Amino acid sequence: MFDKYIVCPYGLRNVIDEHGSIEGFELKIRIPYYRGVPLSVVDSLKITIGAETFTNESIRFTVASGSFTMSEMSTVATRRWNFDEDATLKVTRPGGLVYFDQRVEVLIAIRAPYGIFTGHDVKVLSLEPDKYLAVAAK
Amino acid sequence: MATIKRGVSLYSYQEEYFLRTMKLEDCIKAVSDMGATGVEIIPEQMCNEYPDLSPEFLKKWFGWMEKYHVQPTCADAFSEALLFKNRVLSDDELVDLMERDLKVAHDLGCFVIRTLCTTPMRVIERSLPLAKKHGVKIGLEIHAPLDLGSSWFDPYQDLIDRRGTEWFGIIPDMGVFELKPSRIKADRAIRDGANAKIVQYVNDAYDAKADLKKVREDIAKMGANAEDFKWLGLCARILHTDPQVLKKHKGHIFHVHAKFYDMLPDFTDENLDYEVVVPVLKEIGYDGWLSSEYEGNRTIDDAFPVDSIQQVSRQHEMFKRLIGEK
Repeated sequence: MFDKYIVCPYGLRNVIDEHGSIEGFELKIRIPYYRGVPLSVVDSLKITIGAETFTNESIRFTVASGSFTMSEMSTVATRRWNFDEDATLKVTRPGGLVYFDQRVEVLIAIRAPYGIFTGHDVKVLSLEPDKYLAVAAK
Repeated sequence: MATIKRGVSLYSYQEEYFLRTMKLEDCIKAVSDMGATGVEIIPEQMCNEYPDLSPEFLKKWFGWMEKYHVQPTCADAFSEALLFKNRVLSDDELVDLMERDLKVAHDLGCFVIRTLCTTPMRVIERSLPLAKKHGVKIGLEIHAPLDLGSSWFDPYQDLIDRRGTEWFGIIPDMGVFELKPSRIKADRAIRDGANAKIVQYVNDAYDAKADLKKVREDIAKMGANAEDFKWLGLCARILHTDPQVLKKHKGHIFHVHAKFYDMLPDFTDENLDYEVVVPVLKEIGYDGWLSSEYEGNRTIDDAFPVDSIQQVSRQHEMFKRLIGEK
């Protein structure tokens, strides 16, 4: 459910690390379920851009209550992704995204006590200005 | 004389809440605007502080209850048995979660929590002293495909016989009284690729109580595709429990989930058997809430704007008539 809202129409951009190189890109997603959940029940997440797919270690999932790689998520029982909250997914891909318009595909599964809620969404998004992980600001 | 009360599960407004066009206060106001008085909530849907609700939040919550002349009814809990990928939670852990949710419900001023049928009965039984401790009842939701009239309920009846009905009872979901395939679901099947002609054939066959195995052969001959068979499967799973079975449950119905998918502009529901169900509830002296659960949004939102307020309001017009509210 809520499939068509999973990939947010905003928030796609390259991420530049403290050394000045593009370490990857990020996008924002919504939950394909009717309530917020503990992060540990985000069962799987796959991002596809062009011919490349990203999962597990290569995705960092960030919400207000915490930030974890998808490989770590299965143990995170006390931090929650709220129903009305955007999650930011940072994907490790040195060099980031090259083309201005990108076809972004997300496949996600939430493990509810009575079954799996899957969500699938594909959108073409335009890159927004880069995000700098500024050391200077610290 | 005691009478059935009208309430709404804020679940009904989930589309607007998700899209951030309605906030929690707006949802509560929408309930009040229809003259309904009961507010049911899924804390995990609309209380971002769950499971630790702050005094500041609770002050706002009770302020809204007062301002809009409504009262909290039920808090829907989930018992996250599959919290971890590699194992099912132990009974001890599930009892802990039950207590957590009883406490949340107590804080919100709710008299009952909804527990899912996936919660083991032994966990419910062990939680009864906790229900008493927090002053909140545990209501087992009975949702399609579970049949209120089948032997599936026997162990729970036994629990009631042994432990009484002060803290344990049921919350029947009215989706178990489905009369016929819903129009919006049929339309969605067609948008998803089913053939309009075959969907109509299946619906007619359903109305005529035809043997669905034969219907399956018929539509195969008509050249049915995967979506057509999916539609037939959906129709085959429609559950219409005889509403008279509610009489068997008189005395332990804590709350009612008034599920619906599509209210028509003339304030009728051709899909669910409310015309029979509400009189039966009256007859058995049910004086709790009919708590609306609009769930049509996920069927129509691929193609149409969702108007949950309008849908719930139409259902309440129907309830006013059926309850005999002046």
